[in-house]
Amino acid sequence: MAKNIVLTALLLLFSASAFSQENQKKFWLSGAARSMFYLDELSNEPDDSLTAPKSEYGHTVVDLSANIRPNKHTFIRATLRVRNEYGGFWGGGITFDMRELYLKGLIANSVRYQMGDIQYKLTPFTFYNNSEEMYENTLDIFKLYSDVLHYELFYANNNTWRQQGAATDFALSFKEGTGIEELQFNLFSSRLNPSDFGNSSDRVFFGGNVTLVQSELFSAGFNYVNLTDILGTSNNSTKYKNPVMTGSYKVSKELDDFKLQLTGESGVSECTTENDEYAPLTADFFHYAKFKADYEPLNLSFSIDYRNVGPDYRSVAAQTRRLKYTTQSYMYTRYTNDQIVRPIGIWDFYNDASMYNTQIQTGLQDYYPQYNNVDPYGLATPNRKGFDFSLSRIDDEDRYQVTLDYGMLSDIVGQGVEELRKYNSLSAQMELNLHNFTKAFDREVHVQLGYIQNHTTRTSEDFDKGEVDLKSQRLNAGITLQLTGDLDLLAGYENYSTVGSDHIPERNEYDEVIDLNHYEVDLKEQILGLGLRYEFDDKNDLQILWQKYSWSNTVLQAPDYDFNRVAIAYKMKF
Amino acid sequence: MKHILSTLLLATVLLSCERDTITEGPSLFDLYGSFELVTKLDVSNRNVDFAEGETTFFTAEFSKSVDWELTISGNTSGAQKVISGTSIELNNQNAVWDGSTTVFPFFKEEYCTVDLTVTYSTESGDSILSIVDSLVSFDNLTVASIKSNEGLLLSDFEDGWNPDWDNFYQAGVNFNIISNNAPQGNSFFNMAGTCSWDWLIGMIIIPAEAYGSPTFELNENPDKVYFNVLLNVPYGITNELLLIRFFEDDNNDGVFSDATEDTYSLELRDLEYGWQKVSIKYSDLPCLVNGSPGEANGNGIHNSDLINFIDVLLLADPSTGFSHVQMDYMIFTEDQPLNP
Repeated sequence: MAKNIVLTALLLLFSASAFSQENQKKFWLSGAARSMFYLDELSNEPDDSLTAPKSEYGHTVVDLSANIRPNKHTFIRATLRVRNEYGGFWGGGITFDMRELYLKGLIANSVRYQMGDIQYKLTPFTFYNNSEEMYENTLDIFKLYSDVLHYELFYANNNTWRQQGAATDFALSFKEGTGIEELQFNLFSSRLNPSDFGNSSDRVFFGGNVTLVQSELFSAGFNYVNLTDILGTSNNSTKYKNPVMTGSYKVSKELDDFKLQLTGESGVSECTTENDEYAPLTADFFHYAKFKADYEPLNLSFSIDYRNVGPDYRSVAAQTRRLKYTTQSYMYTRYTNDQIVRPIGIWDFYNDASMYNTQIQTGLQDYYPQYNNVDPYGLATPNRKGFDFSLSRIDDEDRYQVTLDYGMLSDIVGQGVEELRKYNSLSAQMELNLHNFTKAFDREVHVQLGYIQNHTTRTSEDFDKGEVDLKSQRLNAGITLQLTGDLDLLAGYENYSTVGSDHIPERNEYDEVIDLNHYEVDLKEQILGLGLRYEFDDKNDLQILWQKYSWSNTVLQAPDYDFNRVAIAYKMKF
Repeated sequence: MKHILSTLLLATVLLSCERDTITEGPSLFDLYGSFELVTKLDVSNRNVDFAEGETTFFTAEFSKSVDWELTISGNTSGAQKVISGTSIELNNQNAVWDGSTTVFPFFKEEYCTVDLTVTYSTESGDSILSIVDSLVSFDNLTVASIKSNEGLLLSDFEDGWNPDWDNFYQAGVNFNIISNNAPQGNSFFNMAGTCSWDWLIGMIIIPAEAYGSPTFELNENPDKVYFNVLLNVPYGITNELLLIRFFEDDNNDGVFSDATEDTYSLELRDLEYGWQKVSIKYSDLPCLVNGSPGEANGNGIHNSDLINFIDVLLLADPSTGFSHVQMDYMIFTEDQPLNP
């Protein structure tokens, strides 16, 4: 019955769409579709007779958006998702979901608003969706999976979080001579958790910022966010709250061929649970400043930034990690004849949507030290101070783009010992368009090269158990070679390794460090990929990919394993 | 422009001050370092006269901070005092004994043994071993005189039944003083019996006049007054309901009037097996109407200095049969609960 209703609704939508053609786009349809098919094979110890080595599965998804503009100041979008798992017979594997619903508009030509689903962010210290580990500088051949995951999870490229609530923004302009150009207001409120009328209260997140634009040269802002429970919406008398207040600024200046810019932010946070006698009041502050210089004749950009984020700085909407900490993945959860849990790796990060958060989480979540021990909570990672340097150049003729980053961070307070950890990070990324170097190439050849190294160290003269040495390296190289007009050959190789040890903090429900767990790792992972991509147009392509992935960690009592995958992926937007 | 830049830079640098905290989380040395008893257990006063206000403290030193527990056991009484903590040493701040008791009965004038146990983790090869309650040192001392407790003692039943008290017992029940295995001294009050037709098994009434005054001589501030009693529910008894009521003479005319004056109650049920201390601040006592909190009939103020009489009722659901509670050492203390 439900399916009939949905099918009828779809027919009505199409009919309405046709009708709308004659009414100056008051209604139109858009959307996205994809079809993925996978053939996976797991290899581990040769005598494993219990784990089924091969797995074949796939799905087709269509997201159909009804776009309605009832008047020139109002826009409504409702996106219906139809998903069919391969193998669903006569509709048996079909699901229908409402994926997105919002309306937005303009009041009196001056106040913009959006209600329903909203994508929102403020600053990296207040409200920000930091990218997950291993996402930056993804090779073209592996980007397909990241793109699918990000689309599924509403991770937009601008680090916004998907929220359900309302947002508005407006500005006040001032006359010349007042010394102020504009005063901008951005306000939002969202509901994170509905009350169950029992022990769980309504949890809301709200805030905004006010930015004073003095001129093109100077602007300053005040930011405030607070995540809090609403007392009275359940029988629970405790009230979690995490107000964060920051001030930000931007100063710009042009000197001959240099463009100089100083940006920064400083602020304070508090976090506690009222009416909970055991909950401490956690309060701290942070400072961040970044100086950037662009030398225009060479298209060269240099930046240096300093941060000091206190160990008790808490800002849940800036510190929520995309990746949840888990020891199990849904693919090949167990393996070997002993059916032990298969340790997860970067393969799972690329493929398993269930490992990701879609909502802001309270508390500092556990993280994967083997993949990011430097700043697992982004810029707002507590207990970090130090400098980051960046140098980049984009060639005028689009022949290459190179970026060098170097970070020198340390703890602010020691964990378990008075000595501080040092975090050194180095990243070198290069993209080459070989066809632009010489006319010898009559086809496009895009090459990606990358190297990342993160090194955590701590020396302790009195107690050797306090010493830390954890080193991660990522080396990747990829090529996209145009075979004929719209057909590309994709190839890529990624090598990831982490070796060493650290003491990883274990926190209680109030985020206090209650234990320091010894962590040791000798991890090696590799992915090799080869594929073909046919681009029908910018929004529509078909890819056939083969990948081989291997995992090994000699510290764990878990045998090495490999994955082989052949994937066929068709995706389009319309 | 220059001013703005320099001001912002300066502010950023200046405000990046260091924090007070030096470390976060437990000490790694405490977690993984090796344990050694650096200085063995010692007692500061081996013949301690608690009645004179003396105390004794214990000293010991470890190579790292551990969870430790001191158990002082009376060789005659069987009483125990347990002092515990987490530190690298025992000293006159964290290991002081004032003669009080953790496990009843009270201490007597007797010879006591002292055991020091520790719990810690230590590294052994590639593994972390957890050592639990390991006895690392022991000593002894003598209690020359027992600790005296300040307050208005209603009865410790050492001198038998107070003839100025009143009582009501259902037929066939057993309310009497027993002089054997008492938590304090030699005697306690025993309340036991069955009543198939009424919740009330028996009650005792303690008038203030039994102590020479129309009201008990207590501090007028109810936040400073604590009522304490030692109770024991014998093993197997689950239906007990002990009700202790405090009747105030709000108008101070020497007589309690139920219609116009306050009654506050302490209702105890589901008590644990074994002797235990029950203490309650007088201002925390509720007014109970048919067993539920309700409005007091008088001025609604806890007038601890106007208590006219107290009664203690042993109740039980008639359908549940036999019930049994033992009681000892009823005392009002000031400023803090009884530290027995």
